[in-house]
Amino acid sequence: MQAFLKTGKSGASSGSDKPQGGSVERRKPPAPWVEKYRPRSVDDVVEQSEVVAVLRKCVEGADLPNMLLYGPPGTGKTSTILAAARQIFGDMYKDRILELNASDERGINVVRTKIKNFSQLSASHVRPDGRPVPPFKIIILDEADSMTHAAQSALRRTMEKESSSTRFCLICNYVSRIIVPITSRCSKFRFKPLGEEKIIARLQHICELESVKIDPDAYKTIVKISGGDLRRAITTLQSCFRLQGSEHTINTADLFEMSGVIPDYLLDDFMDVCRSGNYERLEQFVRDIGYSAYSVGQMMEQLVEFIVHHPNLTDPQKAKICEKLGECCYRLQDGGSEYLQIMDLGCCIILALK
Amino acid sequence: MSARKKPWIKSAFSELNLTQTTAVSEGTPAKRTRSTPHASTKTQRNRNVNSTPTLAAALVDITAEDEDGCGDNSESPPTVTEKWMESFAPTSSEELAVHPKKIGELRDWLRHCEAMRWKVPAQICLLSGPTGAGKTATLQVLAKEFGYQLQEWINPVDCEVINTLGDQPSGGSYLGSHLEAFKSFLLRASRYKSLLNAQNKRLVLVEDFPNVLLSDAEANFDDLLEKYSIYGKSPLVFIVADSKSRGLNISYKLFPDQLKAKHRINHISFNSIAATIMQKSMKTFCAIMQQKGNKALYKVPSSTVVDSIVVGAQGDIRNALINLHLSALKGVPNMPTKQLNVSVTSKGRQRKMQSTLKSIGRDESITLMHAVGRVLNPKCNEEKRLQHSPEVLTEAFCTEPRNFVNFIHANYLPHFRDIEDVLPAINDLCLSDFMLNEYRDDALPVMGLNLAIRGTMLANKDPVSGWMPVRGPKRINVLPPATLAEQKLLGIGCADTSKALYATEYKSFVKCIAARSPKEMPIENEQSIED
Amino acid sequence: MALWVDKYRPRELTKLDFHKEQAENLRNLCKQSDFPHLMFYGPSGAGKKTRIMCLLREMYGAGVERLRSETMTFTTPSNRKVEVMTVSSNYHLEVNPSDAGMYDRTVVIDLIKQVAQTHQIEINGQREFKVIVISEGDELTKDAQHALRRTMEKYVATCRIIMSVNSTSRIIPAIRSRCLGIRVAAPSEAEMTAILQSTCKREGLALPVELAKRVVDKSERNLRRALLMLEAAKVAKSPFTAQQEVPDLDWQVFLRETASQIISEQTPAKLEKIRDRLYELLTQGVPPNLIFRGLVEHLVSNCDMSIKAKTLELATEYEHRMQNGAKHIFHLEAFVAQFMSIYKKFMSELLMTDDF
Repeated sequence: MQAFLKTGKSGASSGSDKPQGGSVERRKPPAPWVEKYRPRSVDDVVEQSEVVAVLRKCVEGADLPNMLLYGPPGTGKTSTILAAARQIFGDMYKDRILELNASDERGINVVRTKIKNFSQLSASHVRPDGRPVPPFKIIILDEADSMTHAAQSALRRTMEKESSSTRFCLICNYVSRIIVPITSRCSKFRFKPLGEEKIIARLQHICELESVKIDPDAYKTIVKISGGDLRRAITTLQSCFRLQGSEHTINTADLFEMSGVIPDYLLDDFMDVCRSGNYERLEQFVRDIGYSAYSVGQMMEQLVEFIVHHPNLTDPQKAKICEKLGECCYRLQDGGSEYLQIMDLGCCIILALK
Repeated sequence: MSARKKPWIKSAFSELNLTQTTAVSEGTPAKRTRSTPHASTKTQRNRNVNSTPTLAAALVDITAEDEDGCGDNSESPPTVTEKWMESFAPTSSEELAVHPKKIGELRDWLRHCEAMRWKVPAQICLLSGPTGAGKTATLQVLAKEFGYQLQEWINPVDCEVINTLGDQPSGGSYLGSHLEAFKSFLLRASRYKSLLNAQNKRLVLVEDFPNVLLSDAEANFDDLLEKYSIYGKSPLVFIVADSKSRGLNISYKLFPDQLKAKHRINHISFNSIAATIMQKSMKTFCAIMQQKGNKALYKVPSSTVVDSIVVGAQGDIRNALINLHLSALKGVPNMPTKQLNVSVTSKGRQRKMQSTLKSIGRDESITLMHAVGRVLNPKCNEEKRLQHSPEVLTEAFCTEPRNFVNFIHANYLPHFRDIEDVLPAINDLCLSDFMLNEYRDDALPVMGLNLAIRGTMLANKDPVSGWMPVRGPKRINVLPPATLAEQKLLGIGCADTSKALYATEYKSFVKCIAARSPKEMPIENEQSIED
Repeated sequence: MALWVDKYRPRELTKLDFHKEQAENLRNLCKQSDFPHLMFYGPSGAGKKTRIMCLLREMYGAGVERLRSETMTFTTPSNRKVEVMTVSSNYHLEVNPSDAGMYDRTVVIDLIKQVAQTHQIEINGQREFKVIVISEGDELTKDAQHALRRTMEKYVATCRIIMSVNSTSRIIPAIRSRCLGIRVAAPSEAEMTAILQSTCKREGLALPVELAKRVVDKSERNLRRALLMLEAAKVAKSPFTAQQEVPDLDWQVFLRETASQIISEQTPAKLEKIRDRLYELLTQGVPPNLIFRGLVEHLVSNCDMSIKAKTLELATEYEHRMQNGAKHIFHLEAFVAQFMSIYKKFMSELLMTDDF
């Protein structure tokens, strides 16, 4: 697991590993489950059949294309490529991979120097011990959508020029933020949100290994909370386990409290308040939401579902409210004030319900 | 550029041979990098005078003219030397275009220095004023008069460490060395003589401030002055040009009032040169142009051109001289002038038509004011079109859109009669602020500026006419969060409280509690805000 | 001479006055060798910081209370120096990057790298990692948050992050999913009254019930504000009387007056005066989003529903634009102008209907 965190580029940390040797193993800090249960091999990757199929071929010896992996968070993008790299290169893994993410400096200069330098290193096709190894290196650009366009354009030339010895793997959430010249040079793989059964299966596997006591219904709650984000699901599970202690059986209520999801009754209350058409009540309600520390952003997310499936609203009403909801969500994400956004939404609902 | 390539010590210690005017024509190499380019010794042949390597300030150097006037100029065709400007440099205080009072102030200070020679603390003086006000020229002339030798600091260019990785923070080495160099120059220049020169009285001049001092570390500067006032043996003069933006204004940034008081810095601030004096010196320049050595080169510019140069230069004599030089060169077509409606503050309230040169002139600030006026008092012609096109205004200010929008915002309100008209205007200003802040697209700032200009012009349906003073945009300087007593009260645990949180949650209460004065305190608080 | 807020701040998880069950959970968390990144979220003055300090003490013992404050200097990629105050002990470091403004990314990254690369001094200490406490994490720019997200994973072996945020809405999902969220709701009014009473008892003062109630009402369920208010009241007048005046936050008073001025007159000249007042507020360091909220709250109080809805619509729009702009005053002013216009129309319509 250490290897995941220290991918050979921060000299200080990789250097300090060696002298300590065995003692590191003994005193190894406990890993978060997300890291601990990262897939070790391509075959362990949950779902994502296309990319797994391609990567399996590569592991078996085929050439690796430049890749662009995109999809919502927690669907295994980083895990997949790391697992593949590990299988392809075996113990040479550290030398053959350059992993850069948004936390590293990734301006145009880095693209021009660091990436270039790394890609110009030649890669031999045999290991030191004589066994064959694919003659290329992989540069993984995690969170590539946060790279500036200038840096991306600088990258495209490098990608072309160094194609003989280097493969690029870009990972991002939104493919639209990657400039077209880059996307056209990569094989694109979309990562789908994971299905409920797959997540539950994975969670059950972890629960068994970690001896977590859990209510069988709670699995579904975890899936609901995490919305197909496996990382979030595992984190939620682990957090709950840590908070409640190992004696406690994890149930649905714990999970709700833990994850910050807003209880359904509050949404009902919100609608009731709006139905009353009383601004002062709305104001008080919004304040109370604030006092109880519920996140308005979360609330709006849940409201979307809630409004769309609400039995007592007419379609024009729903349309009006949802339009406003979309607008408010956007502004909130963009840094708008919680209070104003939810009040605006409330007023809109009041007027819509009149 | 020979001097520039030498190590800093050489360039820093190289002196201005002001006091040796007579000797110069024999060819002492000039080492000032800025105003005297290379090849000074070789230019003898060029009968255009390049004798006194003084600064490029602008007055007549008659003496030099007389000495070099004899000549072989008939042989070589007249060419403009790179140092043509120096032939116009002043040599005596009478020739300076600066107001006599200011000259007097500086002279008094030099006299005082004379009296205080070799005594601690060392005398320090700060000359400030707009560009081309003759600060340096005055100092040079007076230094010569008192028999001082000027030693000037020039920023070394060879100890710069180029940072190849732009995003790696550079080590302290560069800053350190640059500052060290400056320090040692200051402390040594006044103490040790140059080997080349026997002059005893020296005057240290700093006109070129090291970048380190500009970017930060006022404390460093304070230290430096402290040391200098103890160890320095010669008077020290700083020359600083005024600048409109506060960030670049050295006299404001580096010389706060406390510092001036602490080191008894004598601050003489020059004004821009008055039009009448300028007119006079222009005449002198013209006279020089008609002298023997120059006649081949110059023709006499017409009086309208001279007048418009004076108007356009706005008190910058150096600029005026350059314009005059350009317009008087033979072979240059007559400068197009354009009529300008400038209301002159004469008593009869008559409007005098004045012209300014179309291509030259540096009236940025005037046009800013004018442009703001045009935006805020939109005039329509008969065809219901705006008299001043927003596009033209946009183009004029596309280099500083933010500043212009701020100016519009600071001034637009009094020109509006109705709140309804204000709405579209402020709305567009908002949008333009939003667009100006979007740094990822180069085109947006200009569009934002255009939006603000056009929006404000069109929104105002019924402008309030009449003269209104133009105000500069306000800057928000957030007050220092807490006094010492309040900080003490807060204790160490709250040291990482952000300014915003402190202002909203702690400030009012902590102020009361820290003051510990019973009863009136909360009420007083409210009053203080009312004020 | 410390403020009551500090003096009577609970130092241990077992001594917390409210959310006791949660405190128990936090203790559970400490018992394990494994520890996640945490995010405490809740309104201002709900006790997030108190809980964080208690948690740290539970983990590291009393050593965390030996604090030293230091000003750290960071150099941004553009070679600008940013100074940030930090408070630290041998085991943890508290930082509030919001004052670094747009340079917070550098601050966060450098700080974590620095801390993470120096291992814990005591090899046999309780924990192998240090803790970085980031206050007001929701003020971090998106850029900084993105940078934080991977750094958190990278240095997980040697450091843990505890964030304290007012609301999770502004935290990017990637960070939210990497942290264990701890919801800290504001104390109920009863809890607050009890705390005020016990504080006064320890100070040897008698607190009349009415006064306590008024302080609680005024403090908007913000315990810190309540305690500061009470202490300020005590300075003003001691011993307490039931009718004594409770000091207000002066910026709130000022804002209220500004709002009533807006309602009194709607002309460009007035707007200019209002602008000066808004400048004054900004100079005092009041964050513009609070000014927006305060203005809206006061302005809508005597309009009818349609005006209220319209006002809020405008407020949200301009407030959002302000967050992406540079000159806050433009947007505040635009909102005020818009409100003046609607209000003027509203009033003239009222007059018209009255005439008939």
